[in-house]
Amino acid sequence: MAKKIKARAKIKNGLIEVKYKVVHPMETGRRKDKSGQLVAEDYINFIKISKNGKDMFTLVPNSTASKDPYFFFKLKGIKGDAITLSWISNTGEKNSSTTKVK
Amino acid sequence: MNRRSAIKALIGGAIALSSMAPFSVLANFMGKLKADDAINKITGGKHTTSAKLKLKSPKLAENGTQVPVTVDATALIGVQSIFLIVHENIKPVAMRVDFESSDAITFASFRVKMGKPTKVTAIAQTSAGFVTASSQTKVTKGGC
Repeated sequence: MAKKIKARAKIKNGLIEVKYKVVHPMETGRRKDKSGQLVAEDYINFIKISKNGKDMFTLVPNSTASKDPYFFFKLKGIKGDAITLSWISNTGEKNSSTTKVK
Repeated sequence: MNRRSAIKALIGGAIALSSMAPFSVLANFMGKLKADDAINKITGGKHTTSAKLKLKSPKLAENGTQVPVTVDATALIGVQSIFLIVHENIKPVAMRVDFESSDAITFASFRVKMGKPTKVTAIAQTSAGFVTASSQTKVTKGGC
């Protein structure tokens, strides 16, 4: 399953505005599939957002965060800063992506 | 090992410990429990409401699987973390956001699932204690 991270980081009103859409099913463990079987719990439970390698935000979502979680943050910085988001799910899956501030 | 490196090792250990601590705490309130119990577990029962903490959630959400919520704590001083509690969900604590740096603006916007019409509470952990703000959201189609 392709679990992409869509990111956009732009300077607006002197601050970096970061928007993230992490493609992930975020299964709560309560949904049933077509055959009536419960779909196993599978959700992101740890996210780290850093700027130039320095930690900025740590997020701990529960399974009640929406499917394909979307985040919007503001931080101080300049054009060209590298913003990285990395996540870990409860199943141990990991992914990360880095974007340059435009 | 000289004195300087010993101190460094000590500090390093302390940092590693403090960054590990939230997980053991989290396990206590991320699960299935009543919203008020979750709030008490986070705040230790002591919290004040303030208009400085702004929580924006829609009055009416058509689709309970994608409800946008914005927490703005920029008017508060010394904010370390934000918690979002959706009262009627089986797992009420939806999100915890920690602000690790002074470069991080104490503002967060994200989407959560809501099972049914519910009260939503944001908790901000500041250096002076816990501050809360609540709002009500109606959900026409549940998404939990």
